[in-house]
Amino acid sequence: MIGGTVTITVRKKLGLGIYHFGFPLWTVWLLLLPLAILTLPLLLLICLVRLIDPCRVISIFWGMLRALKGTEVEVDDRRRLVAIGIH
Amino acid sequence: MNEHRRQILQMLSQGQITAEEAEKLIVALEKEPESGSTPKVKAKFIRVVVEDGPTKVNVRVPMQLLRAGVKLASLIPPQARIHVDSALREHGMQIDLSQLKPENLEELIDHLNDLTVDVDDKNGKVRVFSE
Repeated sequence: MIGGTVTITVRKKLGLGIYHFGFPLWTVWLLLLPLAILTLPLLLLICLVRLIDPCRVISIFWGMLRALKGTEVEVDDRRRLVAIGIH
Repeated sequence: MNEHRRQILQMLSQGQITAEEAEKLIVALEKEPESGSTPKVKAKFIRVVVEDGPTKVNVRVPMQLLRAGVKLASLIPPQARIHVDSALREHGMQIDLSQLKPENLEELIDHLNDLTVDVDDKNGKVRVFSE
């Protein structure tokens, strides 16, 4: 499964304000699907020219997408904290 | 004193083995992991923490992502590898990408289990560790 849920938390330090929402990751992939379909012929052409196995390329990128689960990024400064996690 | 060691010392006292043989057995015992001990847990994530004044950035990356990302290096065409190698050498990194093999990369990632980097200077702090 390619990840599961993305959670985004924004917390304002000055004053009150915590915004927390999550959404399933498949919605992101669904939005990116048209772009992927459009770039697929270009990718195949590059693989053909460079003599690279396109199945291997797709397999590696698929592996990277699957491995995203557990990634967390948090940026904390004086005014706010923003945290993004893929669970 | 564990049971195996006791047995070795008993055999030594009874003359069944010499002192040298007893020493070898004890050394071999010390090298083996204890049967009841927990196996070393492999780290699953790499965490990078950067503190620069009031700003703090905390990133956690799964080891699986590193493994998958390292495989990208295998996609670099041979003619491009020469340029990449020369660019790396210009920056002081004597790495030959063509010599990297999948088993070497796996071993490298396994050694990341013990990775700890701590940099603390006037510009900020950087910590990299596995968890």
